[in-house]
Order: sequence, then C-alpha cells, then structure tokens
Amino acid sequence: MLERKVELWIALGMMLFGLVSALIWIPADTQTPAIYTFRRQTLLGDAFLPMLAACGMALFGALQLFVTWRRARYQSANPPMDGGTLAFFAMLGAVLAASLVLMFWSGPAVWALFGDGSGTYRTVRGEAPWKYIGFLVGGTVMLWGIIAIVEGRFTLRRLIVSVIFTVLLILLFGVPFDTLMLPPNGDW
Amino acid sequence: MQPLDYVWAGVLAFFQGPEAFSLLGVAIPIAVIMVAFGFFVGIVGGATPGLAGPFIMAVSLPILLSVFGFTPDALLPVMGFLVGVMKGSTVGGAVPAILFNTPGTPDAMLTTLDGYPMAKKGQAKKALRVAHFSSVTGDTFSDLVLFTCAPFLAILVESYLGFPEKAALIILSLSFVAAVVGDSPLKGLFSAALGLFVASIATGQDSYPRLTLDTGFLRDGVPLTTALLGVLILGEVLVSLEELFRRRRSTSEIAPEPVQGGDNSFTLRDRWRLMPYISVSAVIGTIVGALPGIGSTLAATLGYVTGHKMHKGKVPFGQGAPEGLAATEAANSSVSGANLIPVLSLGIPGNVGAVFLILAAESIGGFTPGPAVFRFSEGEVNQQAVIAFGLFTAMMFANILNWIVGGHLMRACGIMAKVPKHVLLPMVLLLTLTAIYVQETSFDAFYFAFALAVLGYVMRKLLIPTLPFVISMILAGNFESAIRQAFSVSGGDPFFLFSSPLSIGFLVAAVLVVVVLTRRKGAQASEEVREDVERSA
Repeated sequence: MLERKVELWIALGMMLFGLVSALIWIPADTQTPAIYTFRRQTLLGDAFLPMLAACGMALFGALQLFVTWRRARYQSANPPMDGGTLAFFAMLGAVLAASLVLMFWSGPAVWALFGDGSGTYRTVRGEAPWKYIGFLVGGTVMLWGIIAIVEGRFTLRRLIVSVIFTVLLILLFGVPFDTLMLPPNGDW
Repeated sequence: MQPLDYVWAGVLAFFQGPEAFSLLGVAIPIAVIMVAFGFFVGIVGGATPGLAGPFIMAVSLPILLSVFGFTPDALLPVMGFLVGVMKGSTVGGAVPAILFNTPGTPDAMLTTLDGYPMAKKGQAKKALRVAHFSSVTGDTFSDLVLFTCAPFLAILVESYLGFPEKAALIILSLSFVAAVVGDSPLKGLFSAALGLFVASIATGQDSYPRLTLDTGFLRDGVPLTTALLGVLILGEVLVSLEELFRRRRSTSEIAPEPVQGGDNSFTLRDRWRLMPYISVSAVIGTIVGALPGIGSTLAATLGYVTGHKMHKGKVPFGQGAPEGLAATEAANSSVSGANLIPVLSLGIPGNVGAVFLILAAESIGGFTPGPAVFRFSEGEVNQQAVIAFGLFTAMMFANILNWIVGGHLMRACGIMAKVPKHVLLPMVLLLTLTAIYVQETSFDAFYFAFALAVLGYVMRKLLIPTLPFVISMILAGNFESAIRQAFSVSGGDPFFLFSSPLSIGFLVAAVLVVVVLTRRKGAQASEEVREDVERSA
C-alpha cells in the first residue's frame, strides 16, 4: 500500500490530466466536437470518445482524491520512487542510448570501411553479413550493459552470453525469413 | 448447415487442413504440428521464472504472421500455436514453484505453499505429478464448459443485444475488469479511461487525425502491438530489473535443490482421493475465469481456501499436503479455458492471453471474436463458426497431448528455473524490441515502446492496474463504433444509452460493481493500515 500523501498526489495528477485533456487538448486537436449537427442530423464527432475518456479520468481522479482524503494517515517505509530509481534509469538510459546508436550506425560504418564501395549501405541492407552487423553489435552491447548494471561489473562470461543470445535472435528472426527485417535495416 | 455440421467441419478443418509433411504416407496437418510445438514452447516458457505464456505469445506473433501470412489458412495454425502456449505455460508454471520455491507468476505463489514442502521432503516427483494431474483435469473441465457455453451465450447476445446494449455491455465489462483488478477500483477505472484516450489518438472518422498535436510522429496513432508489449512486458521488465538493481543479488536467489528420496509414487488411489478437491477447484476456477479480468490468482486462492476447509488428512495444508497442491493447481488451470467464454461470445478479452489471441485474429483477418462467430446460417457457410470449432478441436488436442506427455515434459523442464533472472530479463527486453521492430520496421516503434514501457513502469509503481488499460485499448474501436451507431439510430437522443431495460440494467450493474468494490476494498485497506499501526506500536 502507498502512503496517503502519495495517493493524494496520484489522484490529483489523474484529475488534472483529465481536466487539461478535456478543456484544452481535445478542443484544440480534433476536427469535429463531441456532438454536432450536420445537414440537420445530430452526430457524434471525433471529440466524443476522447472527451468521454478525459471526463472519466477527471471524475475518477476527483473521486479517488475524496476517498483517499478520508483515509487514515499511513506511513510507508517504501516510497514508489526515489534516488535509486533515478540512478537506475540514468544508467539504463545511457546503455539503451549507446546500444541503439551502435545498432543504427555499425552496419553503415563497417560497410563504409570494408565494403567494396559500390553503393550505400541501403543497397546491401538485405545482404549477409552486412544486415546483421548493426543488430549484433547493438544487441550485444544492450544485453551486456544491462546485465552489468544489475551485477555492478562487466564480465567476459556475460559478454559471451550476450553475443550468443544475439546470434540466436539473428538465427530465429533474420536467417529463416527474408521478409522480416532486423533493426535497423528498415530505417535505411 | 446445422450446428452439428459446423462442429464436424471445425474438427475436419483442424485435422485435414494444409499438410506440413507426410509420415509413412499419412498427411500431418500443419495446425496439429503448431499446437504441439506451442504446447512444448509453453511448458519450457512457463517453467522459466520471468517468462510466462503471454510473453511467449507476444514475441512469437510476428514470426507466426511472417511464416503463415495473412490468409484464412493461417488462422488455425497461428491460433493453435497460441492456444498450445497458453496450455503449456499453465502446467509449466508449477515447475519452479515446486522445485525451487520460485513462483514464476502470482498464482504460482499458492503452489509453493504445499509444492515446495513436498519437494523438501524428497517428494518433488510426486508433487509435479499431482500438479500435472490436477492442472490438466481442471483445464479439460474448463474447456468443456467453454465449448458448451460460448455458442449459447453468443446466440443470446446476438438475439437480444442492439447497439445501445452492446455499448452498455462494453462499459459494464470495462468497469468490472477495472474494479476487480488491483487494490483500488477508481484507479482501475482511470486506467481503462486512459486506455480509451490513448487508443483514440489518430483514429476517428474525420480527415484530420485527432489528438496528434499536429506531429508526424503520432499521425499513424499508437501501434497496438507495440503498446501492449510496452505496457505489459517491458513495463514489467523495468520494474523487475530495478528491483534486482537495488538488491544487487544474482544467482543466489534461487534456493538449492533438495535431495530427493521420499515416496514419489502417485497411484490411481491417490488420484481418486484428490478428485473431490480437484472437482471443487475446477468449478471455482471455471466460474472465476468466465468473469473478465479476475484472473487465476483469485481462483487459486479461493480453490486453496475451499480445499483447506474440506481437508481432514494427516498432513496439514501448508506443510506439503498433496490436497493443497491439487486444489490450487486445478483452480488456476481451469481459469484459462473459461477465460475464452467472454472472448468468443462477446468479443471481450478477460485476460492478457486472450488479448493476444484477439490480436492474432485481428492481424490475420477473417475471424472476429464476438457473437457473430456462432451464427449458424443454414444457406451460406459461416467460416468463422468453422474456425471457432477448429479452435475448440485444437484445445482438445492440446489437452490430450497434455494428458499424455505434459507430465514428462514438465519434469524435464526443471533446469529452466536455474536461469538467473538478471540475465534473462535483458534477453526478454531485446527479444521484445526485436519482435516489435520486425513488425513495424522503424526505430520510431522503439520510441513508442520505451514511452509505453515507462508508462507501464509508472503505473505498476503507483499501483494503477495495467490490464484495464490494454483491454480498453483493444475494445476502443468497437466501443466507439457501437456508440456512434446507437446514437445515430436513436436520432440524436442524448439518453440513447438508456433506451432499453437491458442497457439500463448493464449500466446500473457497472455502477454497482464499482461502488460495492470501492467500499469493500477501502475497508480492507483501512484494516491493513490499522494492523500495520498496531504492529509498529
């Protein structure tokens, strides 16, 4: 169970999101209002469903606020998020960003360095081994990095596991199916 | 065609469908192979803590679609595979709970109560046999109820429900799911409303795609599969990884394997002795499963508590009683078949596994789960009914397979529980991202996936249930269409949803469910607070 104060903030956030959506976002970002008349016919417009959802969010948020307000105070030893959360997401974000950059650029970089220079990476994105390089490098770094975040150290054993698993994925998705494109080849 | 002809056509569609290969001159249909393969993969996945049936269904879907394409011939092999996974993972889930006291899913927590003490006494094999026997009995019973109830319910729905009633029924279902899942019905309702809101981005009928903030990024809306995988799978991966990061523990989490040497026989007499517990739990699980959103954890709890009340044996519950294990496993396994009753008769998914079955059907086309499936037209053949009965045949085939080889496979999969979670979770992350990319073929899909993973993470941390969110995302299109048509048919009557006693009844029930459960869960929360305060004092 969460602390009463945290629950009050959640309820307030739910209510505010609903209100902002209903009063600002939806009217400004839909072509037809919730209900409108066209050629003497009354119809439901494109704003109806999101408006219903937004009003629902605001209402449930307000009710949750009321119900939580009446609840007894409660101190919890475990807040839902804290500095540890921030540290975890900072490290995870860095690993994901690095691995995605490597995934995106490794293939073209290797092609530029070692290819026969006959065209761009786009022309060979469907040919082995070029089409697997980005996924292999990026996938391996992603796995190795995340395992290292949890274990607190980089080890050769985990690197080997990461390479093996990424190769397995290539064997599962890439090798048998010509129609499936591994990342990042669809973007090139 | 008469109804019985449809049943027979379904059986033939399964056994005489496209051939995979021929063995000694006998054609082996691809649907049969796929059910068997799905069942095997399901057991292995279920036996691996951190994986579960829905995850395997999610990542295998793009591969299946790529292999089988988008023709009606693909329906039975693809859905058969998913059904096989569902059944395999149900029995496989008991393996780590019994052998290593590591419940892979919340409902398996109750399996540990008697399963692990049995393993500690050296009776791990017997515990696995009890779990398998109870699980497959409960599952088979539940499937039989599904086969008999779903067509009748669908016919009733088709005969009596117009557009306003259908819209009101969706509101009732969403309220029910929202109210029963999680600690707070109001948070569940917020989650359902948020799902409707996200689903409405870039959909609608106007030329301008709504709620896109005039950006190209949102112009095609939020991809449904990416959203489901992001919120359900990646959100859970983030929560688990953070937990492991905080603990900085690795392989030592899994308890050492106890030495085996006790009485591992499981005779016919033992089976007969367990039947009362299994029967009662199977009925409980089936009833719970037929109601959308409740899930197998409550079924397992109710089955265990009821079994506890019935029990008069030597070994008390919680100390390695086979009766406790049987009651739990029969209850949680009988949920899966009954869970398809609302899917096939109403088009409303009640759990995550059903969500992926609907997604597969929608992706392939030619089969739209809902009341129209069981329209037994005599003149023109309703192919959807044939597919539905083909699916039932696939489920029965999976059950037979489960009876014959499920127990052996289960015992062989004990090794999977030794895979360290902190190594497995990043693999799940990369596998999910790959599955998403091969469907969307754009890095944009990764950004959606990460955004929705963070949403799923935040929702879990703030104890906002994710199931109402994904179910309302799936139902949003049908809901909007039913509401628009009901409004149009009523001639613009603002009270169009209150136009018949049935729709009024559904709406009143929707409000009552929320009010009653809010009060009950509020009282439970207050009680917990009081106990906590007393404990700390």
